[in-house]
Amino acid sequence: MGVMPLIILCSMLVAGTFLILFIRIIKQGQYDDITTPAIRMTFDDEPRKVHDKHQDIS
Amino acid sequence: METTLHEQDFEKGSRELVRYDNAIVKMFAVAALGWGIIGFLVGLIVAIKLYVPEFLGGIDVLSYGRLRPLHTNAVIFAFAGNAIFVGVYYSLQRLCKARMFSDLLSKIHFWGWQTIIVSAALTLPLGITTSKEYAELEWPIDLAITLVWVVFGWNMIGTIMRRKERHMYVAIWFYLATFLTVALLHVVNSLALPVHLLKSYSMYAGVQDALVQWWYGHNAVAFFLTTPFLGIMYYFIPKASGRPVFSYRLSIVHFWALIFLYIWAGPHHLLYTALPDWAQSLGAVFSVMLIAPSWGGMVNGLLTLRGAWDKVRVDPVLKFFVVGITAYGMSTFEGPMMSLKNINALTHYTDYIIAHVHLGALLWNGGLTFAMLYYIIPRIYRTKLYSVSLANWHFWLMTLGVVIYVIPMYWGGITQALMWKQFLPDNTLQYNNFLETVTQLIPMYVMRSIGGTLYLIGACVGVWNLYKTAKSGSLLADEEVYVVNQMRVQAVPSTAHKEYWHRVLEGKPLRFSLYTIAAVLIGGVVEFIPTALVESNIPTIATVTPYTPLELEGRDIYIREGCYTCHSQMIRPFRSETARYGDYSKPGEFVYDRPFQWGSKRTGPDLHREGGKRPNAWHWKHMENPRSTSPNSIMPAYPWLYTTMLDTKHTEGKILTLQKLGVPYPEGFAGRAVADLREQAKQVAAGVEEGGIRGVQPEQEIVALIAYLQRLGTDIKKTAPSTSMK
Repeated sequence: MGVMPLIILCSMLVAGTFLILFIRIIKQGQYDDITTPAIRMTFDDEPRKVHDKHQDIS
Repeated sequence: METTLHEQDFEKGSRELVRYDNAIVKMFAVAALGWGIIGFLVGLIVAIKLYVPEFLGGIDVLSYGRLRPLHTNAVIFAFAGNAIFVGVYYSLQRLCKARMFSDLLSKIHFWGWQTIIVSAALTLPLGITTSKEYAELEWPIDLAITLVWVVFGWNMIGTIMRRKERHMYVAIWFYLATFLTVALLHVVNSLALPVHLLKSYSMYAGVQDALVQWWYGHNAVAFFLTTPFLGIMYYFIPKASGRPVFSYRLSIVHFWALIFLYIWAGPHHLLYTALPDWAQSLGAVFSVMLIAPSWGGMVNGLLTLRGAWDKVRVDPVLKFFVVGITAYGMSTFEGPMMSLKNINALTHYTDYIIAHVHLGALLWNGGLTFAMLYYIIPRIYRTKLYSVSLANWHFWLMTLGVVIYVIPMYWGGITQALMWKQFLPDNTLQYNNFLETVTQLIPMYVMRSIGGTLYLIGACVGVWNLYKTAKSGSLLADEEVYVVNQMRVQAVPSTAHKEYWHRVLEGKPLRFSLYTIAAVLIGGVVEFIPTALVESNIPTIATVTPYTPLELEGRDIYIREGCYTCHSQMIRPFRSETARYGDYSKPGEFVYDRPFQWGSKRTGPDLHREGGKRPNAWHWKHMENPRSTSPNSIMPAYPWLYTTMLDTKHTEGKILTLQKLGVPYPEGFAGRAVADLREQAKQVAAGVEEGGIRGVQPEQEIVALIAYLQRLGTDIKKTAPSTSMK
């Protein structure tokens, strides 16, 4: 079963990559706030036309 | 309040105009729908062939064994694949508040992917296949897939690097995991040594090939049909319902737990096979653990609609989502259960698996795809959905179609498994003739195709509805919006780690680390494989010898015709199987099998001990017209094997290639291969004529196939020196 080490190596590499990414992004504060991102993504972006009208009014 | 905030941002110069690329979203959407209908239609054709074997029969390019891989590839890579790209290109831009990194890369990605699909649609019916399930495409197409996939990843990561939103929403993580893992799986599983442009031999043999293939196969389901669709779920359900996801914390736990567990579960496809027991157990344990994150995700998706169930009643988008996620929950419950050895012993090789995958594919992938398209198309075309009523029709045709499809298949699977295992008091099999267990299922096969037809009609209604929607509006190819560039606005409060995050983005180490991983991986693979694999393929059973040139050519015909789609070559160590087929399969018997042909479904009987069971003439008559030897058989006839003469142009090259892979043919054997082949063909042809058949030509393809079938599983019966273990 010479292929087992290869598969385990590859799987470890995938898992390891994600583990490193996970630790890094936690340290970088990605998950400091896990309340507002879920809410903010539900807002729609402001289309350009609406903005132009808004500027005219102001 | 909001106005002042915007004005402040504007003054600071942090407010930027962004143009979302909707044209590319539309292109992928059209492709997904078009290929989807074709994929479903091919599925329906092969479903009908299972009870009317003469349907479109006698034509090589339309035979079951060649169309079935076309069906699976079309629905997975063409329908679901393009759907994934619709979801990613639409949501990633909006989550990153940035246009896709490069329009050119987007176009290369789109046209590259469609070219791959077209080449698959051309090569698979021609029998150009590696026979590794969901990885059937030959090496030049595999290379193209790798390149296009890298373009996709480059475009995606480039967009993420340029994002104007500090936080990477959970959907983006699912997309990233999809890209990284599929790239790795595809490369490792597709390693092969080419004989010529359209033929290659797997770098792995037998048990190893099986393990790599199902490590890939399982994770193709995990990282192609699951993670990207979970990303889609996490973006589109909150957007469509106007509610944030039930628990964002749970979504993060869901993501990380899922990807850490998924990669280890592959061996559950090989329970009770010749794979080492510890590997089987490892796969089973991880598969059972998977239920936790899977159901966490399902619950999180459904509970997002808490308090919004009134919207589900009227909004087709949410209806499709709810049914899709429910199906995901059912599939991910079944998965761990079928990974338990006692349940697997019953369900494996039967139609139960077909029900399981179609529940997932038709409702989870199909349902989510249509939900997403019903959401996106009206928005990018600046209009309303053409007809809510038609969407409801689609919804019910889909849902009922799947119910009518899966229930007979579950029923049939259990029925057949129990019949296989049924003994009489005198210790003989009650259904000794395998065919009895097949004809029993024919009503279920008919029901299945009715369910599939309903699903297909539903999909056509959906396509029509979306087409009319698009016609009633006009495509907003570049959607212009104002966004606040959070990466330029100083976050409050400013802390050290935020500064660091800033530098991370500007210094691009993420990209660098990805390049490093790719480099390490390619280097490791290149160094590791030739040494470890060739070495470990030394046979452990002394009587097992390489295939003769004729048997090898016969085996390549077996692969070309997709025999593995209905016949396994793996006798499990059960009393019911050894009584029916003979001695159970040993790992050492497969050391020259490139690729392995264990199969995953027994529509017909196992063939691993077929060699020597029946005379050559029986096989001749059987392949010419299966009903002549086995009344009521549902196997197709293979008339072209009798009219086509065996092409020996590449025989020498095949032997040379296999020698490079470590198959111990004697030195200089390649040069004698064709002569050896002719000699054996004469003997086999003479054997056929002994059975009363006239006019057998040794050059006919069928002769090579008979030679291969008569060799199957016979090596172990030889009374050579001893079966000494090395």
